[in-house]
Amino acid sequence: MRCMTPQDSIKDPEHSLQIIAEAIAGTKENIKQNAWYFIFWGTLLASCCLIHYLLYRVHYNPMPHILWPMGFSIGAILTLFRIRKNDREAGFSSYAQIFTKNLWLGLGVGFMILLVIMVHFRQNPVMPLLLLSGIGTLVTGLSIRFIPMSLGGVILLIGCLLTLWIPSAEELALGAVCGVLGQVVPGILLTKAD
Amino acid sequence: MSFKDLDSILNTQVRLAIMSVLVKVEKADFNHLKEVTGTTQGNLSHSIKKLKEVGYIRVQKTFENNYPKTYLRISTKGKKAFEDYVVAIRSYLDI
Repeated sequence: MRCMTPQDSIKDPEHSLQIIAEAIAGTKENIKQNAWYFIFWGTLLASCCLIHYLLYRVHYNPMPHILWPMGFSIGAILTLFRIRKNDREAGFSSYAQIFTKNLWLGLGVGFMILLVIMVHFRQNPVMPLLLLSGIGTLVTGLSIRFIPMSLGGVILLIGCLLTLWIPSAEELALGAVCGVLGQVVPGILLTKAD
Repeated sequence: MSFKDLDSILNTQVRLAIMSVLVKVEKADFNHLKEVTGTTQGNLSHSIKKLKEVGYIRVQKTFENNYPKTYLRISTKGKKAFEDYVVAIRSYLDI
């Protein structure tokens, strides 16, 4: 593009449209930036589930539920750093990004409250976690129009429903599988999307 | 009304490009606008000043990691002016 000057006037309506189209194209949102969050949180979910499951299986059970608030607090801090880094690099905030950020903020706060309740009652938090992350993943997938992400959300929601019929310990194994299929895999596919 | 009678504030290349970016996002920083418009820092500052004077945009100056950072947002008046401008050029093009 030739260097524009403030005095350059527009010659005709076609020229106006061309300037508008070029400016909008130059501000295209990079949806791949979302991939990191899904790969990271999916991995964190699967790891917490697997560690809790293994602790349960070997009957080493001092305070396994404390694993969840610890893991998710570290995750929240790392995510905040990542958001700051992405915001700096992007140079702009789109309305879709703000919506997605606020959605996950609300779900995150809701989950933290549920986590306190579940730890208090010494219950594993897989069921509410799958429900909240399923809603967030499905809505994010629909907003960025990325079908694998939407399907990931559906997998998490189905996983949540399946917890009704399986024993508590197996819920943890199910949570790990759902974390991988519902978030890690769509996240990886998003990094490769056009 | 002839094409030249359109909003004279918006009918220049840099200012129209700035408004086109800002109408799409919640906020954009100075460097992003410089990149998209492909203009110089001086030209961009001049155009921003003009748009701010007529109330089409709001400018927020802040610091990030000890470096100055300028964010720009479109105002309600600016959004209306941009919409009117687009409606006008569409009528010229008959689309």
